[in-house]
Amino acid sequence: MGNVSVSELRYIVGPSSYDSVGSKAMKVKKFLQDYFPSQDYLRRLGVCVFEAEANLAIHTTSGGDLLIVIYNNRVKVVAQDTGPGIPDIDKALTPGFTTAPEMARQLGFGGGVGLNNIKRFADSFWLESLKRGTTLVFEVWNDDSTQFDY
Amino acid sequence: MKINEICKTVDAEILQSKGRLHIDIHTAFAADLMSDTLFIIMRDEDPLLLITGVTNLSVVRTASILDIPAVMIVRGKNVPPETIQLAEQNEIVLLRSKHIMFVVCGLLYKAGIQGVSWEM
Repeated sequence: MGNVSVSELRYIVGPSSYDSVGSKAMKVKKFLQDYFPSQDYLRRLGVCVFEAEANLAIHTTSGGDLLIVIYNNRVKVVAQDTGPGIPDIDKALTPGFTTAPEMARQLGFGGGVGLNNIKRFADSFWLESLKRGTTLVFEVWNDDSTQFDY
Repeated sequence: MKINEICKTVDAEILQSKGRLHIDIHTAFAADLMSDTLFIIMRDEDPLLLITGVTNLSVVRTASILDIPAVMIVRGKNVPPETIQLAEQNEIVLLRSKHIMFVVCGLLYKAGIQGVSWEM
């Protein structure tokens, strides 16, 4: 796998769009199969995008944008919304803590491990949250030196 | 354990057979929370059976993201046609047992299927 030029994918995730959670992540994973042959890498990246997509669908007032940037052996993901923001980021990063509505939980989401899961698999993780919106930026690298340690 | 042996062990039917039907499965995970399922650690060399009572599209999407080759629906639940269709498109074998999740897990564990790695 040599260097590849920069490519971008953009998706809009609607608020309370529980029925379609994971559909964007599947599209991203399928698209990236042409770029990255490693199933392990695609799985890690796919899980991270799935979690970011689920957060936008479950926890936002007006939905949000999911931007995927592919450059060299890395993928950068930016998930951005317009509120209501995460009141306590430390709590949100505590496994099992969830503010997901009952409807989301009935569909199998809102287990309170999403952000942790991204943090676990991503090579870089940045999160800023204000009442007017949350921005999550993470990268998953396919570099040999940063393979996930099982 | 082959898929047909798994079916015999838990008295399951095959709802969707397109996919890796002849795969040898040694590990499993059981949950109704797809969030928790996304937290498991998968390895290429260790294909997994997902045991769940969730029948909506999210179960197939989760399986697809994690490269899970087979999903066992428990409690004899009705599976919507769109779920079966998405499983077919993504080549995920879909099975259904009338037993409750506890019994399915117990029977498969007794037959030698191990739990997947879990670290929170």
